[in-house]
This record gives sequence, structure tokens and C-alpha cells, in this order.
Amino acid sequence: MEKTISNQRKASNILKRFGLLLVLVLMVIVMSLVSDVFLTTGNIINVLRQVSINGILAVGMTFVILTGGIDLSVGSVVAVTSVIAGNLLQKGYSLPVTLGASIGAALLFGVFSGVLIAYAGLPPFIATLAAQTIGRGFALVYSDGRPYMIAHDTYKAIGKGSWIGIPVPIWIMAVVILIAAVVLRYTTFGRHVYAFGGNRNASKLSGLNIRTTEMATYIISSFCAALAGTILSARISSGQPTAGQGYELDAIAAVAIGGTSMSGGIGHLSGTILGFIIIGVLSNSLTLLNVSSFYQDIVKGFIIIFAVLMDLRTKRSGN
Amino acid sequence: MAEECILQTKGISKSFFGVNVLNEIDFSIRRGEVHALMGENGAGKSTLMKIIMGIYHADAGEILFEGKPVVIRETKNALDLGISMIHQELNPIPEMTVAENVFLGREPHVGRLPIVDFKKLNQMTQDLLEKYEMADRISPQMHMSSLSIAQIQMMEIIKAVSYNSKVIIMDEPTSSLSESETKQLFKTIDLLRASGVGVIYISHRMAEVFELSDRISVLRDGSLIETIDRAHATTDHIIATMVGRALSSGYPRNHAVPGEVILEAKGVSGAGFEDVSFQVSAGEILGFAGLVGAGRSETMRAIVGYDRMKSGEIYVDGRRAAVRHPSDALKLGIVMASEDRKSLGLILCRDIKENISIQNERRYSRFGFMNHRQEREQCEGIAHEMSVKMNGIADIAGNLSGGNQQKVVLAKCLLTHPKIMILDEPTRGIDVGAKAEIYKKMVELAEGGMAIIMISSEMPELIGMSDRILAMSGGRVRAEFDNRERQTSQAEILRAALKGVE
Repeated sequence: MEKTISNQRKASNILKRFGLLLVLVLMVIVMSLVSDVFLTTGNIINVLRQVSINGILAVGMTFVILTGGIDLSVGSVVAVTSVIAGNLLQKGYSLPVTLGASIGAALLFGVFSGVLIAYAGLPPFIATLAAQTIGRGFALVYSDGRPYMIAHDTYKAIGKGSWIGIPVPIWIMAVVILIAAVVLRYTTFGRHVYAFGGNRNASKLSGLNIRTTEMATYIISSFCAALAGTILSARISSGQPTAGQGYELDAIAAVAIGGTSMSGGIGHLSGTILGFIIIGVLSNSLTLLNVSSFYQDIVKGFIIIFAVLMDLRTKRSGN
Repeated sequence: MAEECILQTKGISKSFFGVNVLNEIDFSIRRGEVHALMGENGAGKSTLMKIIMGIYHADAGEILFEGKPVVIRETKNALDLGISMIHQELNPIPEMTVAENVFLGREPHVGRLPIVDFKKLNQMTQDLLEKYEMADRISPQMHMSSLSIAQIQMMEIIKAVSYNSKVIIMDEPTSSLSESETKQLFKTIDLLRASGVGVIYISHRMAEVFELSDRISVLRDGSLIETIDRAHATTDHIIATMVGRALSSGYPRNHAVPGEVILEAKGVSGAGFEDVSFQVSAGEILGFAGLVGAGRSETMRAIVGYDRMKSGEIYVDGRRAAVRHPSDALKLGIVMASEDRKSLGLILCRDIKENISIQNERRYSRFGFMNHRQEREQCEGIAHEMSVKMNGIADIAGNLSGGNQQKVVLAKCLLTHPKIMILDEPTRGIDVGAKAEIYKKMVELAEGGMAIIMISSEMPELIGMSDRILAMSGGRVRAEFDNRERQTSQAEILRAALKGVE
């Protein structure tokens, strides 16, 4: 008797996660029928490379949203990383120095938001909105509004190169996902993130240092944004102050589609992965079908609503 | 006979995940009666009430209202029929006044304009308050945020009668009330009864049920075991019916001989408490008496480092201890189980295992990595030791009954192997069976050398369990009673607890 209950619960859990997978499988089946390019190795790799930037951002965003927060600054942090790297490479600094400075600057933004949220008590929405405009403004002031051309070959390889046939951005994304999965599942910090998002007061009374936990998630998110900014600038061979505009919304969309609760405490990295792959496959499909990118945004909006509605329904029937 | 029933349920059944929660319940409430509904946590009381209120839907059976079958799809249907419920957790809108809350969504307008007629609104509320003799304690223009729990409850009752409710369900209405507030509530219930309202009264407190009710129904494991007139019932009989077995009444005796002083607080002050000093020894159960708001919980929260302490000193094993954060307290072996399970005790959306492990992770982690196997074994072990009723430790904490949630809170505290355990209202809102288990566990722990501090608002429990009792009021310790003989009088304690209050 008890076994059947837990089995049923397990079944409904799997269904919940499979629901999303089902959406993806359906999309793939339909696309493979209407397009003979879709299921080629070339196109699959293409999709994965295209999603790599949003994928990395979405992984960082998952940590933040699991605490019940939100990070609106990632798009601007992408731009900050990108202009600093562009400028330093033009001035002839070595790769380690460049990466250290560009990624370091991005981390400072994470610390900035984190301190405002965890220590000064600002709502995450407000603090990261401020960080977003400050970051964008900084990138524009720093570069005087002009892009830096990047000629450094090794740096460019981060975005354009490939290893055993697979583009470097995909490798980076894979490593980021792997580390995040291990952190969330096997470390005490991962548990703290879930606990904090579920009930911060109870977490504190249980002896967790909730401020460091909360702040750390914003630093993680900024680090992911720095990686994304590096990949982007390397890929387009230029450090652009306007890069990354609106990227935060795609990352949030991926996490939301993936079923992570916006109020925190509940969610899985696997959901986020399905989320950004679905978004990627969707844009790829619509492009293959010659649908204008303007329409793509509209469709994406409806997919978000559909996915989250599905999620709400499965959760409700679960109760 | 049938026509005097306002509300009847016939053969109501309900199951979740294939588990029968309610089995063909035939329950009725008559005009002008107080009908107590008793049963252990998880017996199905709340489910039955939620079906009557339209929050859940029965799988089978029907509901008759004034003799006619009705369909209650949502809460609004129940309210329209004249059935209201005063929930255990009250949720008023804090920025509004009493009158605005009572007539929320039904405000009288100035003529036909979309403008609220505040004068009329306040007058309507005032009339109701006077009718139910509450006008001296609560007024229409008071802000909700300034009200005590008792006053909020009065507002909820007024709200219910303003809907012309014929049936009012009260879920554990006295769990947060002081004794004088409880008396006031009982007076209101008598007035409701006199005006023909049927009251369904859910409570674990035997004395109240016997004082108040006309009939008593007992639920056990989803079945209605019996409904009897109060006149024919005895406490022992009701308890035996509830648990399905004879239960030793009374409190287990702590045979530990108090050892060295483990914890000493010297003149601690903070928000809500002033100059509090006390000592507690190994093997001792120290009780804290007082009314709600006496500063007991606040003191303890500061001692474990959850809230700031403005001044004062804490000594653990005779050494000065600096506790700035609950993690410091944990290292010193001090742990607190809060009275507020939902906001301070548990992470409701996570499972039992994570709830237990969050406070104990250093026991099975190295360099920040968890050992899942050890974690599962230890959490499972302590959950079984506390006899948490569950399918497994993967059950979500929020889905457990109140008594089981409390056991999980105790389990996570116990796994830290504390030297000093602070229990804030450890038995609030939980059933007699679980209460007895918790008392037994407390004595076991004390006899094993633990120092236990228990805050309780239930006098009999405090007197039955504590070796010493401190009474607090207005944030200060007012008196200390040696209670080794378990003979301190309630009146004495109450007098101290009322000092500087009235």
C-alpha cells in the first residue's frame, strides 16, 4: 500500500519532468518531418552552440531564482566583461591578465548586488535593476560607446574554435552544467540554496549563514554572465558596450519553463536545461521555417505561458 | 429531529493518492448547538471541514443544508449558504481597519456611487460588536496591525455573523489565547448559541470541550467513531475513543537528579525583554510561564542568537559564551524548537530528510560535500526514533499533520545531540497521542542529562512537566517556583504572570 503511494508520486514527478521533455520531443518530431536539415549533425551542433550563452546564463539564474530572487543585471554584466576584454586585448595585455580583469569586474557586480540584497535588505528586483543600468552605463562610459575589435587568436578561439568536432562554447556550457549539478546535489551549499529559498527564517534558526548563501548566488550568476560575455565577444571578435541587451529575460524564461518556482525552494537544474534547449530549438525551427525573428518573440512568449501553466496544473493535481 | 439539523453530511468519503482520508462520514450540526469535533492529527477533521467549506470535494456522499441537498463547489457557495470558518491561522489585511476587513468586498456605498460610505460601514460593524458584547475590547476603526490575536479572532467572528452565518466552524480557536481571552471567546460562543447559530468546535483541549459543547464527535483514521452528548461523556472515554487504545493520562515523572548548571543567563536584555536571569542544570526541566507577549520566546530567540541581544551575559558550562548567530549556539550545544513551525521551524516545501539534515549537515559532510548515504541513514533513524508517521523521509514536510511536523522539528533538534534544548510551546495544536509521546521523550532526554527549557501557555502541562517554573510578564522574570513536587498552584503562577500587566 505504502509502496504504491510513493510509486504513484514518483510517477507523477517523472510525468512532470517528462511533460517538458515531451514538448521537446514533439517539437523535434514535427521539425524532422517538415525539414530535412533539422536532424543533421550540423544543425544540432548549431543549435547547441546557439543556446550555449543563454544556457550558461540560465544555470546561474537557476541558483538565484532557487533562493526566491532574480538577477536582472546579467545582460549588462555580459557587456562589461566584453568591453574590458576588448580594451585590454587591444592594449596588448596577455590572455590571463585580460580574463582576470574582465571576469573579476563581473564578479564585482555580483558582490555589489549581493551586498545590497543580503546585507542592506534591498529587494532583488530593485538591486539588480540598479546593477543593470549601472553596468550598461559603465560599459558605455568605459568604451565611449564604441566597440573594440579583437584580434587575439587564442581569445577568439573561445568563441569560434572547436575541439574534437564540437565548438568550445558547448564544452564550456557542458562543464558549467556539470559543476552546477554537482554543487546543487552534492554540496552543503546546494542544500543551503534550496533551504534558503524554502524558508529563510527557519534556515537561519537552523544555524545557516543565510547572508553568505544569498550573496553567493548573485556572485555565481555574475560569474556565469562573465563566461557568457567572454564567449560572445570572442565569437563576434569585438567587445561591444551594447552586447547582451535583454539576455536576462531569456535566462529567466529558461528557468521558468524549467519549472523552478519563482518564489524559491523548488526546482531542478534538469528543468532549466530542458528550458533553454526548448527555447533554442524553437528559434532554430522558426528560422528554418523562414519565420521572421519578430514572430519568434511572440511565439516564445506563448511557450512560456504554456509551460508554466502546465507546471501549475501538474502541481495542483499533485495536491 | 431532522429539521433541527442545519447541516448534515451523509456518507462523505474522500481519498488522496489512493489513501482513504474520510470514510462515509455522517455528521450533523443542530441549530444553537456547540458540536465539538475531536481526533488525533491526521484523523480527518480538517479534511471534513474543508469539504464542508468547498475547499476540497468529496469523492462520494452528500451534504444537506436545512434538509435540502446542496452542492458546495467553492468557499463562496459555503459562505452564501451561511457556513463560515474561523481558521487556525488568521489572515486579515493588516493595513485595513476592523470594519473594512469585516465588510471586505461588501462595503456599503454612498448612494449608487462607487464610493464607500465609511460612516455606515463603521456603524454596521459597531452594531455587531455591541450585539456580541465585544465593543469594549475592539472598535471598528482600529487597525488590524495593532490588534492582538484574540482581537483578530473577534473580528473574524463578527465577519462570520455579518454573513448571517448559521454554522460557524472554529479550528483550534484558543490555541493562541490567554485564559482571560479564552473566557471572552466562550462568552461570545454562548451568545452565538443563543441566537441559533450552530458552532463546530475543533479542539484538542479536553477541558474546553467539556465546558463548552453540547455534543462531541470523535474521528479516528478517517471514520466517525461516535457522536455522544456531553452529559454522557467522560474524558477517559473520549481519549480512549480518539486513540483507539487506553492511554495513561497524566505526565511522566522526570527522575533525573539535577547536575551542574549548564546554562546561565545573567541580566540579558533585548527587544521585548529586560534583565532576564536564570540558570538551568543538566537533567532539569525548566518551565517558563507567562501570557502571550510576556517576552519568553523573545528571550530564548536572543539566547540562541536568532535575535540581537542588547546586553547581558550567557555562560555555558561556567564559561562565558558569545552567541551572535544560531550557528554559534549550535556549536555550544544549544538548540531551539520554535513555537512557530511554519515560519521558523520547517521548510515546508522540502522533504523530511532535508529538513532534518539542514541543521545537522556537519555530521555527514566533508569539505562541503554531502554523504548522501549517511545523511539518509541518520535522518531516517531519528525520524523513526521520534515515530514520525510518514511514507518515507522523502515526504514533503508541508503535507504532514501538525503533530508530525512538530516531531520532525524535534527530530532535527535532537540529531544535533544538544546539551540544552529549548522547546517553545512544544505541544501546541497537536493531539493527545503525540503529546504523550513528546512528554515521554522530554523526560527520557532529561534523564539522559540534557537540560530542557520549556515555554508553555498550558498551565497543567507546565506544572506536570517542569522541575522549576519561572513566570515572566512584561519582558521580566517575576517569580520562581520550585516545582519538584509538582504542586505549584495555577493561581500562584498566574498571579506572577499578570504582574505589571493588569
